[in-house]
Amino acid sequence: MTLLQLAWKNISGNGLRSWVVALCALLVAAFALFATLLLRGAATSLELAADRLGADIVVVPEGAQADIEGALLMGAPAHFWMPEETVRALGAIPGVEAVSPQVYLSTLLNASCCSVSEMFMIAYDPATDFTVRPWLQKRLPEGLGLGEVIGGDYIFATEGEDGILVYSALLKLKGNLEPTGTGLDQSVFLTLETAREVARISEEYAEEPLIIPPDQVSAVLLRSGPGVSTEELAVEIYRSVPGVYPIQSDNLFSSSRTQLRSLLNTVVVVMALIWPLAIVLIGMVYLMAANERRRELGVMRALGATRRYVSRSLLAEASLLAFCGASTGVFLAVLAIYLFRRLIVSSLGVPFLLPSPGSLILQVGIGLLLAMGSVFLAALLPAVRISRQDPAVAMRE
Amino acid sequence: MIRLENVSKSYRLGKGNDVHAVSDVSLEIGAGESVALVGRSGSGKTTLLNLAAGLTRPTAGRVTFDGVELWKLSDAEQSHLRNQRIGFVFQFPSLLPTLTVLENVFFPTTLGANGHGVDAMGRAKELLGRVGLADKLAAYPRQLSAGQQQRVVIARSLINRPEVLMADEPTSNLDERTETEIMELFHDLHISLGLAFLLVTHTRQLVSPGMRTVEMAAGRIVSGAAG
Amino acid sequence: MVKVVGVLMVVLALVLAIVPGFTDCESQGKVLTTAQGKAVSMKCHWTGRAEIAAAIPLGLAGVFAVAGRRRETKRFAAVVGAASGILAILFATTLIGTCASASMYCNVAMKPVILAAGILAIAVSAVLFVLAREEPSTAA
Repeated sequence: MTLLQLAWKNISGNGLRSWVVALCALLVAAFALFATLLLRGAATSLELAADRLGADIVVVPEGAQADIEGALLMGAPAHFWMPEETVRALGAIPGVEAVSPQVYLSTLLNASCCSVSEMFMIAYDPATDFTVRPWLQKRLPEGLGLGEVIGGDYIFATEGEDGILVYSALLKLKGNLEPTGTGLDQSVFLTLETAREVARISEEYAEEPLIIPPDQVSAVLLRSGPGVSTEELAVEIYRSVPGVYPIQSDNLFSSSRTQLRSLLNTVVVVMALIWPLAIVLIGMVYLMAANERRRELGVMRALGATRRYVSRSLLAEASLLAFCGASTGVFLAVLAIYLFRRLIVSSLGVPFLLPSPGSLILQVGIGLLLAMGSVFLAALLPAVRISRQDPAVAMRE
Repeated sequence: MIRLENVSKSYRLGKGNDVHAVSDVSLEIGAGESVALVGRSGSGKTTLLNLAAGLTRPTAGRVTFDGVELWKLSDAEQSHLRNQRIGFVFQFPSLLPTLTVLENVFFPTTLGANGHGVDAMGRAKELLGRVGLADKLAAYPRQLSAGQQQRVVIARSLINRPEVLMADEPTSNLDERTETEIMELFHDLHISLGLAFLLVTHTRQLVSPGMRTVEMAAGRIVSGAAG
Repeated sequence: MVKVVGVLMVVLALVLAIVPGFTDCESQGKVLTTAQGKAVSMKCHWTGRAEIAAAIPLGLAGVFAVAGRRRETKRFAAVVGAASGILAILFATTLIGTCASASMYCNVAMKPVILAAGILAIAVSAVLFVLAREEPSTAA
């Protein structure tokens, strides 16, 4: 009979105590992993979204800063406009290498015309675009034609139809982009030409027409030239072009980043409370348990078990319990994050992306080690203490 | 075989409150010898047995086993000695509650360095058959009577073929009939296996003819010390 | 330990039976309106109703796990529990399903709860099956 087999038998025979230790390990592992996955998932998502934007500066109408963040991060449709000539004005500023306008539209809420309710639509100008095209190149080297769209990860064609019905216009879904965990996953990208065509069709057939104000754009994406400071460029834009607000891509999603930081602080505080409490509780349980089993351990010593054997047998029990509890905790955390990610995103208001398998395995491993290490640490002192006791004293009632 | 030379054992209960469980006792138990330690409750007999087995360190004096001083050995060496050469039967139920009867008997073989496995398993079954519990191999201690449990303990005490069997009031929790059966079992084993036997008891009635009786009172031997 | 597992099964059964009623789209005020103007419940509503059919055997299995005395009873309860878990998952995915759009409340809340309860029911039933071997058998 190996030490582990003996440990397993002892665990099975001691219900409540085993449950308490396993539960502590479960809670530590589950909380640590859940929090880590959530925070890293949110941070990764933000980075990816900012990366995907591809622009150094996004210029929006003054006052629309919060709206664009909501649109890009959460897919909340945004409706703001500025004159089209802003594009020319921005292009004329020294240090600006490229400019490209985008028009933000959305489908109707709960309308029968549309297969998706309140879907965010981003219309871009293929002639000047430098942000959408790089991703398109990978998926569709030929680009998007008239009546064609490319969707975020969540977008799919309606059952029985060949594409997406938008304002009574059937648009062909040419493909889906990689997930970002942000609102971009619930958006479609189409050319300005296609958008205008949809508007034209909607006037005749849709419940409500799609209105694209003439000579207006929603945002202008800007790329700065090499060696140009984006901060200085942003200041220059603010100074020279009235009625607009330039957002550096680093500062984009700033409110989400702040939210993330405060979430991180909360997690750290909670962990700082749970972890030592769990270790103390486990230590107390083991101390009580070792005391209760004093006589049994004394008998083992009499039968020829060394001090080391006794302490190793107690630690083997603790480790086994820790492993069972921690693995269950880890399993529950991963299950919860995977199944409830959309609910978490909408409740917390932060974007989220599931980690890659490799990253997940690493984080799971860390969660397991943390929980098992805690239990082992807590059980160490009682185990060593009881193993050193005089067998005759231990066996005395 | 076992020699205690001027051993004493004291326990400190509180400030200035020392209990002298055993005071300046010398005793020798020869190979194959059968010795009964008798005395009233608190006379020090259990403590003396514990000292002889190396289960507690003497406050003074020496304990040797075949000339080797017990307390000069390392913990591993002492444990090995107890595992291989001494069998124990305690007064209280001493089976490990989470192991079956067979596993309990088999357990001491997992502690030794001599290897275990199929051979030890077979021997465990044989011993259980010998004590009349061949049909209870898969039972747990809680499913057995006190008498049956004590039989299992006796089988366990013999698994490693010890040279000496030490029994501390082994029948105190048993009814009269079972007590007689257990004592007869001890006697049979002592004769057939040629073990040394050290019995601690407060009842002279359990002392069988042929046993050397050593009487203790107040931590000292009052008679029978010489072999 | 077996009793704890049985209680868990009963809790999961209650979750399956009750939670979908509060997390389907209809509970959020969303229904489909036909061309004739009639209000019709969506798929997720029917899934919620169907989950009751999975919850009942799961709950009963839990009760048997707690009250049963024989290995065979508990093992049977474990098999029924696992089957109920699988059925619950199938109702929410292939057999009936939920609304098409990923952002609908039934997909955000109801479906994850059902899947979680189903997966846990299967896991817990497996544990029960293994633990049941410690119990006395009818054949003994």
